[in-house]
Amino acid sequence: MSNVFKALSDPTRRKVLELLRQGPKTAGELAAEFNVSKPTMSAHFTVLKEANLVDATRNGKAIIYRLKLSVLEDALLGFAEMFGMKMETGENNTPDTKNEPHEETSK
Amino acid sequence: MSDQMMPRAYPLVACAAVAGMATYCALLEPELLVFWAVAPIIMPVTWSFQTYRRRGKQPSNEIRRSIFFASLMLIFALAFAAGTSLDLFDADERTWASRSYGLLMGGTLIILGNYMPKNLPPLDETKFDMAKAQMVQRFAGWALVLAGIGYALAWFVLPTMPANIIASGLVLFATALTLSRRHFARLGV
Repeated sequence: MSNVFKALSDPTRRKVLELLRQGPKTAGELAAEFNVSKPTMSAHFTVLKEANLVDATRNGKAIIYRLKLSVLEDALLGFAEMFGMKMETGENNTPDTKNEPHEETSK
Repeated sequence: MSDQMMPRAYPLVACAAVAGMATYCALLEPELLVFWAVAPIIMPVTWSFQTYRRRGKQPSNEIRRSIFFASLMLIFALAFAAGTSLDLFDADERTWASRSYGLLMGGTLIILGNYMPKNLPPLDETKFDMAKAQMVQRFAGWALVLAGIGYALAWFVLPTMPANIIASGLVLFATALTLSRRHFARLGV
């Protein structure tokens, strides 16, 4: 469960989950929504996969990401979005500071 | 909880045990046939559904665990209910048995509904648009969890007879809602 809270504590990862709520997307489509480097985006995807919140399936050259939230995790994501959850996990969430200004304009 | 894969036989045997226990309870109390029928219908159907969805692919350990532990809870409640029907307990304890069965059944629905959106179908097996399939699956999960909460609450606060009717009605309503959502999603609404 701590993996889930860690994953939901980051606004970029929450944005990824929000985008996946609309339907499955490729890694490229998701990365295009953020102004961050590929390794940073890849690190975010890894955290989400470790928390078992997304499913990644290789389809030819593309990797298709799908939402894999239980109802409880879905509700937690909703609460995190509502209250702008920013938990201290002891992790170095360096991508946050780079992404936040961009996320406001990425819709 | 460890991440070790639960053997396939565990939930299968547990589901069969639930079906057997519920059938025995129905034989003891045929007037409550619909009440006893809920468990033997839901558990094997859930097991078959998840097996069908995952055929040829890596099975979902979470779903197996959910089905197994939900079945254990039901077996406990059904055993108590059967004991009551056999006059091993008095009238008060009989009501308590019905209520505990109802509460555990509600809990079972919550557990199954909670994990339903995690049981993704393989990409090549989605019958229609993946986004719509995902939306319907999330809707079904939420509907089942809310119906489960309502089911458990009805058995917790209402007298036995209306609780039975209202709780069963909630599950039927959630099922009908999910089926109609799926139908309209297929039509593109």
